[in-house]
Amino acid sequence: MLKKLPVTCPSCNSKLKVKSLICKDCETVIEGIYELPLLALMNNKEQEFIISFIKHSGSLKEMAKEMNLSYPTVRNLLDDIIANVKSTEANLKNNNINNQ
Amino acid sequence: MKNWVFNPFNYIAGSKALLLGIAIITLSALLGYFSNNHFDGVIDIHIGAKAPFLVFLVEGLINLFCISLFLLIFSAIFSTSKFRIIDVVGTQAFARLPLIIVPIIGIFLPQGNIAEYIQYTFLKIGNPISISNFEIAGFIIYTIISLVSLAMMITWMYNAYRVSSNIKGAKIIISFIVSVLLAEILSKYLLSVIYYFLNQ
Repeated sequence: MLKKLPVTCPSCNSKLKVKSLICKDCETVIEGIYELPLLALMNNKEQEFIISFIKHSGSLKEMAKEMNLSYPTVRNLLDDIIANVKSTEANLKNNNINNQ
Repeated sequence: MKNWVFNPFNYIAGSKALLLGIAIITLSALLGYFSNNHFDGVIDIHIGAKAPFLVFLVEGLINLFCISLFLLIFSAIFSTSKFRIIDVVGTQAFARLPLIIVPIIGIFLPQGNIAEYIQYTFLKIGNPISISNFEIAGFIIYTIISLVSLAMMITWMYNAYRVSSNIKGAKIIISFIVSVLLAEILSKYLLSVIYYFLNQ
Protein backbone atom coordinates (compact mmCIF):
# COMPACT_ATOMS: atom_id res chain seq x y z
CA MET A 1 0.00 0.00 0.00
CA LEU A 2 1.30 3.43 -0.96
CA LYS A 3 1.47 5.52 2.21
CA LYS A 4 -0.12 8.96 1.97
CA LEU A 5 2.26 11.83 2.68
CA PRO A 6 0.72 13.97 5.45
CA VAL A 7 0.97 17.66 4.55
CA THR A 8 -1.12 19.32 7.25
CA CYS A 9 -0.76 19.11 11.01
CA PRO A 10 -3.52 16.93 12.56
CA SER A 11 -3.37 19.11 15.68
CA CYS A 12 -3.49 22.70 14.38
CA ASN A 13 -4.02 22.26 10.60
CA SER A 14 -0.83 24.20 9.70
CA LYS A 15 1.27 23.07 6.73
CA LEU A 16 3.89 20.55 7.81
CA LYS A 17 7.62 20.92 7.05
CA VAL A 18 10.28 18.27 6.54
CA LYS A 19 12.48 17.85 9.63
CA SER A 20 14.71 14.93 8.70
CA LEU A 21 15.81 12.93 5.68
CA ILE A 22 17.42 9.51 5.81
CA CYS A 23 19.58 7.44 3.46
CA LYS A 24 18.13 3.93 3.55
CA ASP A 25 21.50 2.37 2.57
CA CYS A 26 23.89 3.88 5.11
CA GLU A 27 21.26 5.30 7.50
CA THR A 28 22.77 8.79 7.37
CA VAL A 29 20.22 11.20 8.81
CA ILE A 30 20.07 14.84 7.79
CA GLU A 31 18.10 17.13 10.03
CA GLY A 32 16.85 20.62 9.35
CA ILE A 33 13.68 22.49 8.50
CA TYR A 34 12.76 22.08 4.85
CA GLU A 35 9.61 23.27 3.01
CA LEU A 36 7.59 20.61 1.24
CA PRO A 37 7.50 21.34 -2.51
CA LEU A 38 4.28 22.95 -3.77
CA LEU A 39 3.24 19.82 -5.68
CA ALA A 40 3.53 17.69 -2.54
CA LEU A 41 1.13 20.04 -0.75
CA MET A 42 -1.66 19.20 -3.19
CA ASN A 43 -4.12 16.39 -2.62
CA ASN A 44 -3.88 13.08 -4.49
CA LYS A 45 -6.54 13.94 -7.07
CA GLU A 46 -4.81 17.21 -7.94
CA GLN A 47 -1.43 15.48 -8.24
CA GLU A 48 -2.94 12.81 -10.50
CA PHE A 49 -4.50 15.54 -12.65
CA ILE A 50 -1.17 17.35 -13.02
CA ILE A 51 0.66 14.13 -13.94
CA SER A 52 -2.03 13.32 -16.51
CA PHE A 53 -1.77 16.91 -17.84
CA ILE A 54 1.99 16.46 -18.36
CA LYS A 55 1.54 13.01 -19.94
CA HIS A 56 -0.94 14.47 -22.44
CA SER A 57 1.47 17.31 -23.33
CA GLY A 58 -0.96 19.80 -21.81
CA SER A 59 -3.81 18.84 -24.14
CA LEU A 60 -7.06 19.25 -22.19
CA LYS A 61 -8.94 17.83 -25.19
CA GLU A 62 -7.01 14.56 -24.95
CA MET A 63 -7.49 14.48 -21.18
CA ALA A 64 -11.24 15.05 -21.57
CA LYS A 65 -11.40 12.09 -23.96
CA GLU A 66 -9.54 9.82 -21.57
CA MET A 67 -11.51 10.95 -18.50
CA ASN A 68 -14.87 10.72 -20.36
CA LEU A 69 -15.62 14.30 -19.37
CA SER A 70 -16.43 17.38 -21.44
CA TYR A 71 -13.68 19.83 -22.32
CA PRO A 72 -15.00 22.71 -20.13
CA THR A 73 -15.32 20.35 -17.14
CA VAL A 74 -11.64 19.39 -17.42
CA ARG A 75 -10.68 23.04 -17.93
CA ASN A 76 -12.67 23.95 -14.80
CA LEU A 77 -10.75 21.30 -12.82
CA LEU A 78 -7.53 22.91 -14.04
CA ASP A 79 -8.86 26.36 -13.06
CA ASP A 80 -9.55 25.04 -9.54
CA ILE A 81 -6.00 23.68 -9.28
CA ILE A 82 -4.54 26.99 -10.51
CA ALA A 83 -6.59 28.85 -7.88
CA ASN A 84 -5.42 26.39 -5.20
CA VAL A 85 -1.76 26.78 -6.25
CA LYS A 86 -2.02 30.57 -6.14
CA SER A 87 -3.63 30.55 -2.70
CA THR A 88 -1.07 28.03 -1.33
CA GLU A 89 1.79 30.16 -2.72
CA ALA A 90 0.30 33.26 -1.11
CA ASN A 91 -0.10 31.44 2.23
CA LEU A 92 3.49 30.16 2.12
CA LYS A 93 4.73 33.66 1.30
CA ASN A 94 2.75 35.15 4.20
CA ASN A 95 4.05 32.46 6.57
CA ASN A 96 7.64 33.15 5.50
CA ILE A 97 7.19 36.89 6.05
CA ASN A 98 5.68 36.24 9.50
CA ASN A 99 8.53 33.87 10.43
CA GLN A 100 11.22 36.37 9.44
CA MET B 1 -26.71 8.76 -13.35
CA LYS B 2 -28.25 11.62 -11.35
CA ASN B 3 -25.49 13.86 -12.64
CA TRP B 4 -26.34 12.88 -16.24
CA VAL B 5 -30.00 13.75 -15.74
CA PHE B 6 -29.51 17.18 -14.16
CA ASN B 7 -26.15 18.16 -15.60
CA PRO B 8 -25.14 16.32 -18.79
CA PHE B 9 -22.64 19.09 -19.55
CA ASN B 10 -19.97 17.48 -17.41
CA TYR B 11 -19.89 14.90 -20.20
CA ILE B 12 -20.96 16.73 -23.35
CA ALA B 13 -20.02 20.17 -24.70
CA GLY B 14 -18.37 21.84 -27.68
CA SER B 15 -19.06 20.86 -31.29
CA LYS B 16 -20.71 17.55 -30.34
CA ALA B 17 -23.25 19.40 -28.16
CA LEU B 18 -23.78 22.01 -30.88
CA LEU B 19 -24.47 19.43 -33.61
CA LEU B 20 -26.83 17.46 -31.37
CA GLY B 21 -28.43 20.74 -30.25
CA ILE B 22 -29.10 21.85 -33.83
CA ALA B 23 -30.62 18.41 -34.50
CA ILE B 24 -32.81 18.81 -31.37
CA ILE B 25 -33.94 22.29 -32.48
CA THR B 26 -34.75 21.01 -36.00
CA LEU B 27 -36.66 17.99 -34.66
CA SER B 28 -38.52 20.21 -32.15
CA ALA B 29 -39.46 22.52 -35.04
CA LEU B 30 -40.77 19.56 -37.05
CA LEU B 31 -42.80 18.25 -34.09
CA GLY B 32 -44.01 21.81 -33.39
CA TYR B 33 -45.09 22.09 -37.04
CA PHE B 34 -47.27 18.97 -36.72
CA SER B 35 -48.75 19.93 -33.32
CA ASN B 36 -48.84 23.76 -33.75
CA ASN B 37 -46.61 24.21 -30.71
CA HIS B 38 -44.66 27.42 -31.13
CA PHE B 39 -41.38 28.06 -29.30
CA ASP B 40 -42.19 31.76 -29.25
CA GLY B 41 -39.54 32.95 -26.79
CA VAL B 42 -36.44 31.64 -25.04
CA ILE B 43 -38.48 30.02 -22.25
CA ASP B 44 -41.84 29.80 -24.03
CA ILE B 45 -43.95 27.13 -25.65
CA HIS B 46 -47.51 27.88 -26.72
CA ILE B 47 -50.17 26.35 -28.91
CA GLY B 48 -50.61 28.73 -31.83
CA ALA B 49 -51.62 29.13 -35.43
CA LYS B 50 -50.59 26.86 -38.27
CA ALA B 51 -47.44 28.13 -39.95
CA PRO B 52 -44.80 26.91 -42.42
CA PHE B 53 -42.10 24.60 -41.01
CA LEU B 54 -39.50 27.33 -41.57
CA VAL B 55 -41.24 29.58 -38.99
CA PHE B 56 -40.88 26.90 -36.29
CA LEU B 57 -37.23 26.39 -37.23
CA VAL B 58 -36.51 30.14 -37.15
CA GLU B 59 -38.17 30.36 -33.70
CA GLY B 60 -35.75 27.72 -32.37
CA LEU B 61 -32.71 29.36 -33.94
CA ILE B 62 -33.65 32.86 -32.72
CA ASN B 63 -34.09 31.50 -29.19
CA LEU B 64 -30.63 29.93 -29.35
CA PHE B 65 -29.10 33.11 -30.77
CA CYS B 66 -30.67 35.37 -28.11
CA ILE B 67 -29.74 33.33 -25.04
CA SER B 68 -26.23 32.63 -26.38
CA LEU B 69 -25.66 36.31 -27.11
CA PHE B 70 -26.32 37.47 -23.54
CA LEU B 71 -24.58 34.53 -21.87
CA LEU B 72 -21.50 35.20 -24.02
CA ILE B 73 -21.54 38.88 -23.08
CA PHE B 74 -21.71 38.03 -19.36
CA SER B 75 -19.09 35.29 -19.75
CA ALA B 76 -16.75 37.84 -21.34
CA ILE B 77 -17.36 40.23 -18.42
CA PHE B 78 -17.31 37.86 -15.43
CA SER B 79 -15.46 34.68 -16.39
CA THR B 80 -11.84 34.45 -15.31
CA SER B 81 -11.52 31.18 -17.23
CA LYS B 82 -10.61 30.72 -20.89
CA PHE B 83 -14.15 29.82 -21.97
CA ARG B 84 -14.92 28.81 -25.56
CA ILE B 85 -17.79 30.29 -27.59
CA ILE B 86 -18.62 26.84 -28.98
CA ASP B 87 -19.11 25.48 -25.43
CA VAL B 88 -21.50 28.29 -24.44
CA VAL B 89 -23.54 28.04 -27.67
CA GLY B 90 -23.32 24.25 -28.02
CA THR B 91 -24.43 23.48 -24.47
CA GLN B 92 -27.32 25.98 -24.73
CA ALA B 93 -28.45 24.27 -27.95
CA PHE B 94 -28.31 20.85 -26.26
CA ALA B 95 -30.17 22.25 -23.22
CA ARG B 96 -33.31 22.61 -25.41
CA LEU B 97 -33.73 18.80 -25.29
CA PRO B 98 -36.18 18.53 -22.33
CA LEU B 99 -38.70 20.76 -24.13
CA ILE B 100 -38.97 18.35 -27.09
CA ILE B 101 -41.43 16.25 -25.09
CA VAL B 102 -44.08 19.03 -25.24
CA PRO B 103 -44.79 18.99 -29.01
CA ILE B 104 -44.71 15.16 -28.87
CA ILE B 105 -47.46 15.27 -26.22
CA GLY B 106 -49.15 17.92 -28.40
CA ILE B 107 -49.36 15.45 -31.28
CA PHE B 108 -50.90 12.68 -29.15
CA LEU B 109 -53.12 14.99 -27.08
CA PRO B 110 -54.27 17.70 -29.52
CA GLN B 111 -55.51 20.72 -27.63
CA GLY B 112 -58.23 21.48 -30.22
CA ASN B 113 -60.71 24.08 -28.97
CA ILE B 114 -59.30 24.46 -25.46
CA ALA B 115 -58.03 28.01 -26.11
CA GLU B 116 -61.48 29.17 -27.32
CA TYR B 117 -63.14 27.38 -24.37
CA ILE B 118 -60.88 29.14 -21.82
CA GLN B 119 -61.37 32.49 -23.55
CA TYR B 120 -65.15 32.19 -23.46
CA THR B 121 -65.41 30.67 -19.96
CA PHE B 122 -63.09 33.06 -18.16
CA LEU B 123 -63.02 36.19 -20.33
CA LYS B 124 -66.37 35.98 -22.17
CA ILE B 125 -64.58 36.46 -25.48
CA GLY B 126 -65.79 34.63 -28.59
CA ASN B 127 -68.62 32.11 -28.89
CA PRO B 128 -69.77 29.54 -26.32
CA ILE B 129 -68.08 26.21 -26.93
CA SER B 130 -68.29 22.87 -25.19
CA ILE B 131 -65.40 20.48 -24.72
CA SER B 132 -65.26 16.87 -23.49
CA ASN B 133 -63.80 15.65 -20.20
CA PHE B 134 -61.15 13.87 -22.27
CA GLU B 135 -60.05 17.23 -23.72
CA ILE B 136 -59.91 18.81 -20.24
CA ALA B 137 -57.81 15.87 -18.91
CA GLY B 138 -55.55 16.16 -21.97
CA PHE B 139 -55.08 19.86 -21.37
CA ILE B 140 -54.17 19.30 -17.69
CA ILE B 141 -51.63 16.60 -18.63
CA TYR B 142 -50.22 18.83 -21.36
CA THR B 143 -49.87 21.77 -18.94
CA ILE B 144 -48.17 19.71 -16.21
CA ILE B 145 -45.72 18.15 -18.70
CA SER B 146 -45.01 21.58 -20.21
CA LEU B 147 -44.16 23.07 -16.81
CA VAL B 148 -41.95 20.14 -15.78
CA SER B 149 -40.14 20.19 -19.15
CA LEU B 150 -39.67 23.94 -18.92
CA ALA B 151 -38.24 23.67 -15.40
CA MET B 152 -35.89 20.93 -16.57
CA MET B 153 -34.78 22.99 -19.58
CA ILE B 154 -34.03 26.02 -17.38
CA THR B 155 -32.03 23.78 -15.00
CA TRP B 156 -30.04 22.47 -17.97
CA MET B 157 -29.54 25.99 -19.35
CA TYR B 158 -28.16 27.12 -15.98
CA ASN B 159 -25.85 24.12 -15.63
CA ALA B 160 -24.71 24.56 -19.25
CA TYR B 161 -23.77 28.17 -18.51
CA ARG B 162 -22.10 27.26 -15.19
CA VAL B 163 -19.92 24.55 -16.78
CA SER B 164 -19.05 26.44 -19.95
CA SER B 165 -18.25 29.80 -18.32
CA ASN B 166 -16.96 28.66 -14.89
CA ILE B 167 -18.28 31.84 -13.28
CA LYS B 168 -18.68 31.37 -9.53
CA GLY B 169 -20.70 32.77 -6.62
CA ALA B 170 -23.61 35.18 -6.88
CA LYS B 171 -22.38 36.45 -10.27
CA ILE B 172 -23.40 33.22 -12.03
CA ILE B 173 -26.95 33.26 -10.64
CA ILE B 174 -27.57 36.97 -11.24
CA SER B 175 -26.00 37.01 -14.72
CA PHE B 176 -28.03 33.93 -15.71
CA ILE B 177 -31.34 35.44 -14.57
CA VAL B 178 -30.56 38.75 -16.30
CA SER B 179 -29.50 36.92 -19.49
CA VAL B 180 -32.72 34.89 -19.59
CA LEU B 181 -34.85 38.01 -19.07
CA LEU B 182 -32.99 40.03 -21.73
CA ALA B 183 -32.99 37.08 -24.15
CA GLU B 184 -36.72 36.61 -23.59
CA ILE B 185 -37.38 40.28 -24.44
CA LEU B 186 -35.09 40.23 -27.51
CA SER B 187 -36.47 36.91 -28.83
CA LYS B 188 -40.07 38.14 -28.38
CA TYR B 189 -39.21 41.31 -30.30
CA LEU B 190 -37.40 39.52 -33.15
CA LEU B 191 -40.17 36.93 -33.45
CA SER B 192 -42.86 39.64 -33.46
CA VAL B 193 -41.06 41.21 -36.43
CA ILE B 194 -41.07 37.85 -38.22
CA TYR B 195 -44.77 37.24 -37.44
CA TYR B 196 -45.55 40.76 -38.70
CA PHE B 197 -43.90 40.11 -42.08
CA LEU B 198 -45.60 36.70 -42.29
CA ASN B 199 -49.01 38.30 -41.90
CA GLN B 200 -48.35 40.90 -44.65
